[in-house]
Amino acid sequence: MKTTNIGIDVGGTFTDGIFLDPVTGKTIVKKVHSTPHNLREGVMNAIAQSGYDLSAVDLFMHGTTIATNAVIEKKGSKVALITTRGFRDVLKIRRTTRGRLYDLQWDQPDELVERRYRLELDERIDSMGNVIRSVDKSELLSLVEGMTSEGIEAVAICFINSYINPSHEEQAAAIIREAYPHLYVTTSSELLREWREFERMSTVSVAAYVGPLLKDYIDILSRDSREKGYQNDILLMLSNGGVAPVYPVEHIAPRTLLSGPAAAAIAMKGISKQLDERSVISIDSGGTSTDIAIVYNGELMTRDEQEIEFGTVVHLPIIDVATIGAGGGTLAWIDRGGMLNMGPTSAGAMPGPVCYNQGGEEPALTDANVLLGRLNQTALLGGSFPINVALSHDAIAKKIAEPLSMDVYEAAQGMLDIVNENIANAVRRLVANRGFDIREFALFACGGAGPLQAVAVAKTLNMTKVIVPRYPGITAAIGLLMSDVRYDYVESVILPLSELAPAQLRKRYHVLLTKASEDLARADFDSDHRRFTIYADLRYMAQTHELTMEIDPEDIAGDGWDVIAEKFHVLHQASYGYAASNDEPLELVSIRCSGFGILDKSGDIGFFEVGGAAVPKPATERSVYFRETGFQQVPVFRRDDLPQGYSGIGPVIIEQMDTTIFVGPGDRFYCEKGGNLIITWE
Amino acid sequence: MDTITFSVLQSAFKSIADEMNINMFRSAYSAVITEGRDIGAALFNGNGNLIVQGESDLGVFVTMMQYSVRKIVEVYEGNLFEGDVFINNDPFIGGTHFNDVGVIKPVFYKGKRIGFVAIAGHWADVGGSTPGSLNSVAEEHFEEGLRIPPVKIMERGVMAKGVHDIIMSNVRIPWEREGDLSSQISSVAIGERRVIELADKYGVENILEFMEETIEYAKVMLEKEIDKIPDGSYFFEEYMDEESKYCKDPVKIAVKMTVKGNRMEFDFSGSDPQTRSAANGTYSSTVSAVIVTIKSLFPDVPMSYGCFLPISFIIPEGTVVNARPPAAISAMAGTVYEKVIGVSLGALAHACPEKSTGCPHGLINLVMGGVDDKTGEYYVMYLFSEGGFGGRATKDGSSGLVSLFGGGARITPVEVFERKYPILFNQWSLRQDSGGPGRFRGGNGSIKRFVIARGTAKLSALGDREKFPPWGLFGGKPAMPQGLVLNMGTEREVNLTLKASNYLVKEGDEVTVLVAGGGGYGDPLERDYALAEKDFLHGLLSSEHLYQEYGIVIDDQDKVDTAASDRLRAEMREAAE
Repeated sequence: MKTTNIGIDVGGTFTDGIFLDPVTGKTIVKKVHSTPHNLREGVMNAIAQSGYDLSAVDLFMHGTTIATNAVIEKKGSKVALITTRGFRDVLKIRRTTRGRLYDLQWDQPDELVERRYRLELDERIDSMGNVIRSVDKSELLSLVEGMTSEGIEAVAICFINSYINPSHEEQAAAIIREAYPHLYVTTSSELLREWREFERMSTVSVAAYVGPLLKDYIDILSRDSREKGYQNDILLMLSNGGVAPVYPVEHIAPRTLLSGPAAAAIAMKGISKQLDERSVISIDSGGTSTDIAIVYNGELMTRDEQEIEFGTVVHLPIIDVATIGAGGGTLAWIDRGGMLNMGPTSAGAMPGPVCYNQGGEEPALTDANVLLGRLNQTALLGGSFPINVALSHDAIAKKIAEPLSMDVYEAAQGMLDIVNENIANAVRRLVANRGFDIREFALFACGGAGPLQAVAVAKTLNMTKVIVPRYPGITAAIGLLMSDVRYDYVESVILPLSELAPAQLRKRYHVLLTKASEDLARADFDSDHRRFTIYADLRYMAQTHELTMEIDPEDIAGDGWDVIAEKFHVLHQASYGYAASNDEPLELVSIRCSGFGILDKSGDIGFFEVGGAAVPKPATERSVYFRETGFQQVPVFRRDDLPQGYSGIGPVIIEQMDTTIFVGPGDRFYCEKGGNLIITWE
Repeated sequence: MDTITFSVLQSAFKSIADEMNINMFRSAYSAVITEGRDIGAALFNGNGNLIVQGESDLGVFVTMMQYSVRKIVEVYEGNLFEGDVFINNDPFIGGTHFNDVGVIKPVFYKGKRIGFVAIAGHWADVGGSTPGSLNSVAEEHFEEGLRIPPVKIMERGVMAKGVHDIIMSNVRIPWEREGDLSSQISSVAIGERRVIELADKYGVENILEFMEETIEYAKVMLEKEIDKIPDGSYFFEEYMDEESKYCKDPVKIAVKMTVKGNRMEFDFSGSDPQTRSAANGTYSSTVSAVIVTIKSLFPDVPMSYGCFLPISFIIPEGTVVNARPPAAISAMAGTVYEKVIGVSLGALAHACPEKSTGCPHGLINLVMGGVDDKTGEYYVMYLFSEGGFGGRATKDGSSGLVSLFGGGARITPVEVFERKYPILFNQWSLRQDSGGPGRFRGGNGSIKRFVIARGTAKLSALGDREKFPPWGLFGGKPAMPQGLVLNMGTEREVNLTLKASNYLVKEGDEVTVLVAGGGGYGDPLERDYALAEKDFLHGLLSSEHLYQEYGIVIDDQDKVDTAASDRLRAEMREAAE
């Protein structure tokens, strides 16, 4: 069955729409300005401008930063947190670490829920799940009663040991929902069933903090789209790289914080697959930051926790995206020891780099790229945004070159080198943590600033290939259309394998799989469109950190643990450089299950028709600085002019509306199918 | 070396230390390493001087390990080979307490030694007379476990079976310690590989040049800061609670800090002799505590050997700040080390008041070993403390943080404790009114209460600041003192004190750990009413405390009654005069 799908990704500056026509298989891209005062307006604008009729649309996929922004800008709801008596400061004390190791002036950021709104209930469950003190309904109601006059909009509930027995959290939630139906209520155990109270308390606090906002937004957007004829639930991109129906909001609220980067990572995975690349690292650089994600052997790497800012943690499965402060707006500065640094502070969109002429005085990465001729020196964004290169020159000369007694162009080149090294180090750390060999990977460059730095970063890392997709600036929107529905389930076990029979484990997996099936059925997936993966979190008995290992149902079909144990030793060796002896006891910490609802997709999403003459001519040429040779004339092509199959040798600059690609001297570039550009070198 | 390459290498070296730390954090066996992150990873130059540490490595480890690495150079020069790995925990050389075991590997490039990589972490047990090896009443270090001077645990890539077997025969639960050791050895192998890769890429000459320049860089930066401090001598002294079980007299720790131009000298000559308890420091621990303190006033200076160069020391042998064998030392971190931080902060306070703070709380280490009735299994549990920091020139002190020297250390969650050991927590929260009053008050300390759920256990504590709580500055008042109490508030209440040793606790007993807040900064009678109202609203300070210490009256609407408070403050000022 072919379906008409649309994907809309809302970013800070632009709202990107991507529309897939099932009949022609064509992909249409629309970029409109975001409308920060009322984000759904931009969404509806993008749809209106595409000319699509929502009543003919089967699936409406959506990515939003609304939750992330609420946390970062501290604009979320007023939340009351209810916890076990004696533990309201877990949210404040966190794990006791310092954000800066040696700094007496450093402070922890404020908690999302202020202390006076953190309430303690005299209930208790022990570590085996036995009830020590029950929930007292009248005590609970009087706590909440006191808060309603304070204008509380949401209630987060997190009790000690609820991971092993959630009944108290469930009772408390039911009591509050009944008495105060207007309150947004969410519990830690419905979000995650894992030990470590701070991580659960932080997660549920974030969920309550962003939930009401997200719910209002979704309710109105859903209503608007229904009015235009759309009949299903909107599907929202989650941090785990899957989409899920927007209802119930309580389920998705804490899972949308990485919506954009996760969608971009999905696009990277999808496009790489179409190009038969098995292992790829993406660098997605925008104005302020670079997101890095990994596909290994066709699979996106995930992890179990996201730290939104120091001490604000969401402990749920997410695409493993590392973010560092390196983008076009990243500022250069000299520290007191006379060392040049880049970032993490950014000039942002306002005032932006100095060349924007909006009052910026500190030189940014973009200023260095403009000065060196790598970026267009008169206007950016396809000619629509005029800039002033003389301002970049003066700022770099005055703020960087003179204090360091360097040539201004060398200083600018140095700014580039440092950013490249910072990105390379972040990549190295991410890859090394998993024990991979970086030379097996290709680098996928996206975002407005990624394709400019990608080749240099790849060379620093001893990589040999860079892929630049046709539209690096809209990868997140493309990813929306490439995704499937995904639900994750986890349950704590915490037992030595020796005390567990495979049959018991099969039964426990069966429970999770049944739940996944039910949820997928509710989202209208028939059995042909459901896929499941199961995992086990295992460790050597005395350890406290686990390795998540995918389980083949065959591995636990028999009566013994031999296959599991052997697989684990191999995984441990690969991850940490050693494995214990074969008789070392293993502990099973949690079991996990992911349920995928496979969406019908048609056409080659992410592949675009490209035109142009068989032998394209450069649009222009300009003088570009190279450290070894100084300035030299370099041809500048328009991306739209490059036909499929075209190849050439750098130095070459390729410009398009949403990015600029830099191909260095001697590097080869090739226009692959679907408009993707491949850059290689000896 | 050009500034760009320098900058690039700085970040590359730091990420090597991070990678070693992460590897050990995730794969070791001791819970205090894998939950507590009680780890320090660092890189050293060919002479054994500190080059760089990572972003969560404990300052106490990286600064002291330098002495161990230098000792290796001194003793083994000419006898160092590719594939060698050293192990060391000797406090009299550069270890902290015996539990902190360092693993150190020389790095060779094309046959030439270019540096060392090292990682230390807290092993749950290293033998001795008490489970967990921490023993506050030990009189000689022989009671505290196995002392390992720097020796090769691997030579030319082959495990030194003799050394290995001696170690494993002298620790409790040896199979767990095998896991810690394996994880450390694989961490230094990773570090070695990364340094070699860097040398391949940037050229070994550049690597060597970088190592020297990064030391020089920190040195110059710190010299510039010291230059801004007015020349002169500054004194400060304070006291540890008691000498030993034989003598309850307090123990003096005194410093004379002399600033001259861009140099500083710390002279500890006025300090008391070493004690007959485990509360002793060593030369390297005292140097480390001073460096950590100075570094915390000037956070921009990167940590390396360069931070040591502008500072000289006089630390007489045989004193409590430079004890000699066979002194016991397992209480060092929570006692002498914290006091050296305290006196250094105190001396610096009058030299640079805008950067200094009231005194912070002191680390409390708690060790409990027992048998779980239900499983019949033996366990050793370790709990450290977080607390308050001193008020500052422009704002209150922070609450709920670990010690200054251990900023990367993480507390173990209640749910992990309760699942692994037969205990049940009744409370783990900030401690009301515990911060020292001041115009900017000290941060709140914490309170932990847990019950022995099953069986019996032996409890030992290592800590201080029961009689001499964290002091305030410039009119700021001291914080509430620390303590350890059994069955607090009941008829069976016993003051166990932070010197408790192998105290027998039984099912149903409740243990309360009281951690101090930080000292106040400035006159509490000048505290802003709005700030005080917020403290009251959040339950951080009680109305009684506000009344008595700050001269602030809270009315029945939970607001500050400004008129009544003005009057009260006037009376209090008058009474004080």
